Amino acid sequence: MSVDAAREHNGQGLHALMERYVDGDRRAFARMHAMLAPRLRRFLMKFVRDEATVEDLVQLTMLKAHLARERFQVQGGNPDGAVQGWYFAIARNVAMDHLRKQYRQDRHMVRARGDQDDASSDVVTSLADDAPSIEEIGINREAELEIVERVHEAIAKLPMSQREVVELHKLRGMTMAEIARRLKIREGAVRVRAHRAYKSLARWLVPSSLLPLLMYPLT
Amino acid sequence: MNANAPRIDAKALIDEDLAALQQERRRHFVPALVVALGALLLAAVLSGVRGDMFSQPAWKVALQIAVWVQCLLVLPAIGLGLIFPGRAARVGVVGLAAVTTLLAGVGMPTELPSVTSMVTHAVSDGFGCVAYVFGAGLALLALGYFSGAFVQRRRSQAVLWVTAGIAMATLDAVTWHCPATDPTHTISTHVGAAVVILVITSVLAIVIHARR
Repeated sequence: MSVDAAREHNGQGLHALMERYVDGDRRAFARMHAMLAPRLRRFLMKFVRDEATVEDLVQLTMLKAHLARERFQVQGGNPDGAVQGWYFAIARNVAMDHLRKQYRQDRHMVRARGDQDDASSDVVTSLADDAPSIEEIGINREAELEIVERVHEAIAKLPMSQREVVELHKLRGMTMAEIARRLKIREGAVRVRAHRAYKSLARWLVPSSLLPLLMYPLT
Repeated sequence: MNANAPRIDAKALIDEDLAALQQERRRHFVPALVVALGALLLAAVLSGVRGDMFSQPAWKVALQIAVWVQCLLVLPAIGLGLIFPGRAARVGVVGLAAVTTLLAGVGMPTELPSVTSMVTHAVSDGFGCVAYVFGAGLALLALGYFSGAFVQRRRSQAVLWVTAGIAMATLDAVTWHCPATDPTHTISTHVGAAVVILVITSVLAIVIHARR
């Protein structure tokens, strides 16, 4: 029996771990993470040469896979390979998005620098120096944009009375008292609508432990 | 600060999310357990507990209590994804459950009755206990259905842990109700009916899981 076959037999293969992870087994997830993270790092290094960026992309890949784990299905005759392939597909998309964003920002900066009538500006030098800030903006911004989009979609699903409270409260920064005056209803009623709305949003969106990721500005 | 340290620790976030999921499942499990206990207690009160309950051998009473713990806590905890024992532990749990349940319900008869005599007895004199087992089993199945017990885990085989718990509960319940110790009766009506309930509830639970 090969090592992989032995692992599968003992419930330690990637597919067996994935099944238990999807069921909620934390230890299975920890084992799977230990197996997959190094492979993802090596895979992503082919796209992005910077180790810090690769590490960020690995984290983003893991999070995206976690949010989509219920949709994982085995295709083909190699269940362990299917799990790895699924993670690699997500990692590839994450890397491509990062590179596209990096290219757009590089091009924008080149054009901006080129427009300046300053003989001392060195476009190539400033481009190389800006590499860290592209990563700093790119990785986090990608995750932010996706989350913002999902939050907006969820807000659109709310009943009208709850939606307007959320929009006034979160998007325009009004207080409960100000919202009550604007909508000509009691402040208590505003609070009730807000509570129900946020409860629905929490149920639809990412579970509670990932809510801190949602606390980016919605505008 | 380590320049290579990730700005988001996905492993920690995901682990926290899974922990929250476990807490949520436990919050749903406790009320269902309370309802199940209440239903079983009500059945015991209405139908009566055997008069020789505590005249049984102490080891048998201890085993019957152990069966309650297994069927109401251990097996559902595995089936619902509250705990994830390794393969060896799962095999151990199944073996222990089977052995303790049979010993608690049937004891250690010196001689096994013939299949013919058991079937004849079950058909002619065993209706009461069979109906008791079926009633308890279907009531617990309904509780499982409405509490969402059969749709918690990805694989359909997981529901078998819950249905095994249901079958064990019905066997233990009828053992605490019926004072008969003749293996012709206990094996044919108590164990036999519990096995039939196990098959019926398992098939239904798998169908419910597939339709989610």
